[in-house]
Amino acid sequence: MSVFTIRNKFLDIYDPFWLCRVLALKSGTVVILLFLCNTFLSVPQSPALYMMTTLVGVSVSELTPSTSRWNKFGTFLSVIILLSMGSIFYGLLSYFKISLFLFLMVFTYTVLRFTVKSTAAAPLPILVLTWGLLQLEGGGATNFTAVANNLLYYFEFGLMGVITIAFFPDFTPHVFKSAFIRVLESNARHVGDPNYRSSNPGVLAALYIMRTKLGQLPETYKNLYESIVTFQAEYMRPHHLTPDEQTQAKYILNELVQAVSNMSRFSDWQNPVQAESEPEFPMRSALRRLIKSYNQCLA
Amino acid sequence: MPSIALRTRINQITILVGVAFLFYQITNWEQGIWILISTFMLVGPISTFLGYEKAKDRFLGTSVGVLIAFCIEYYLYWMPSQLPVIVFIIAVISGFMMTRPYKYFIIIITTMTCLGYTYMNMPYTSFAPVSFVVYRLLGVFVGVLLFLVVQNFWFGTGNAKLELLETSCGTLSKLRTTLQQYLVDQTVMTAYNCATDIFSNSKDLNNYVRTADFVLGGDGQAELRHARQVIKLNNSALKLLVDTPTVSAEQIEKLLHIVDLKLERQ
Repeated sequence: MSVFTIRNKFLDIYDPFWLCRVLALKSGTVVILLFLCNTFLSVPQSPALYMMTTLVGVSVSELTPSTSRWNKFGTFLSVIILLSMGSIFYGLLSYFKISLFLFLMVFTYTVLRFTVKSTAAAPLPILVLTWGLLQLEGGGATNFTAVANNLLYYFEFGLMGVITIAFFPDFTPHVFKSAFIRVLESNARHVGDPNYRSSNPGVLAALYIMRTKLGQLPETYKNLYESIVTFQAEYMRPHHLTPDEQTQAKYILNELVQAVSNMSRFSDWQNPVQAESEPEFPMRSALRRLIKSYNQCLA
Repeated sequence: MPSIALRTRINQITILVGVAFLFYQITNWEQGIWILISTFMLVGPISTFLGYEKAKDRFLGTSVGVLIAFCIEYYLYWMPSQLPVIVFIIAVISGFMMTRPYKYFIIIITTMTCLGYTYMNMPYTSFAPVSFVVYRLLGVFVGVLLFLVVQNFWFGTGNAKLELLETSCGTLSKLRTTLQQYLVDQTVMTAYNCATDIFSNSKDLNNYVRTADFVLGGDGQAELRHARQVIKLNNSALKLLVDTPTVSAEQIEKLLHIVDLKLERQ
């Protein structure tokens, strides 16, 4: 049971769509690079703030929807620039309590007024406003030489973030496939259940995740998504399966789940002649298309 | 252009931050900066409803996080060479928790910020784990208290009601657009895409309604009723779009008519 497998019985409970695992692996990678930077390069006496800034930048670049690695670089650089600027302003004003108070009020109002267009866009501006406060009890840069030094340190540690984003493997197919598995599992659990509906929040959440990831995946995944949707629509048709057909449908869906989690081809219906000769149940053609699309994704 | 509720909320947040900063400066508590940081974190989601939810989770989460940080820092006091291993583990867990519910996320974030803060300010502050735990907890407790007092006794529920109403109207307008989109292209694919859009668009409103009783405290029944009706309409749309193998355009048109009437009435 490796952490890299798409299906992990323990982690799937907490992270059904592989999103947390991507962030965890990325955070681990950037932390190792930051430690190496701390070991071999010239660093300040207390590098924690710079390290955490880089870690936050990498996490935000992963959390923000982006279609390419360049977008992630852009997000990462914007976050580093915003956080470092916030810290520098707070540091420069930290000796002047009234100025700091006025600056805090004006900065808070301006940042929120011009960056928050909806509540969904709130976390980053709040992070920018809060970040610099962490250093107010001690080592903030209070003169321009210290500011210049700090900027270089932000650059130095920021490079580790850039390296992480550039070389970190793309786990988007894992995210897509784990969402696919959630849909299949849900369907397999409810074979023959007349009350089961596609508007089930688990199914809709999985479909939403798959749809949001399509922009970063090859065309074959788009075909697979279409097949999933067609199959799901077919599944909603009253299918009146006999107990034997229910067992067969459950078996096939579970086997498909197994194939997706092992990232292997599903070979059960590879031979079309054999497939035609097998006993039919109503959603067979949609299921066949689904399997064909899945196998194409592995080609 | 931000909505009226959002603009008012931004003004409220600025005032709240100012009050927290003055409290921190005037009392001059050691590590009193946590009061200000806590206040910022509570107003983080901007929405009044989500802020209350955060306040509930924050105190408990922070207490657990601070206790973990205390144990780790005590351990590191005797085993300083273990720092990279501990930080690596915490970073991986914090990455994992980033998209989890706030009450779990805050535990690990507190642990991480406590460690970061300690090592960041070590040369400048007199640090001892026990006093740190006490100051940090006190800071968070006062931050949460300040937020609740100012929110309840100064700002009141007026803007929260407006926010609920605006979110309901916004969700309803999005529902109308989505249904119109389906009527233009009536395929299974569009039906499912519209359903996932509706599902994602109604998340905020569902969260608001869940915490509304706590935030509004029996006030704003009309707004709450309206919000619940919007959620019902969203659920009906979902059922029509994906729960049947073929979508009835006639029923979608009927639903769209109801949505239009509701929007006109506002």
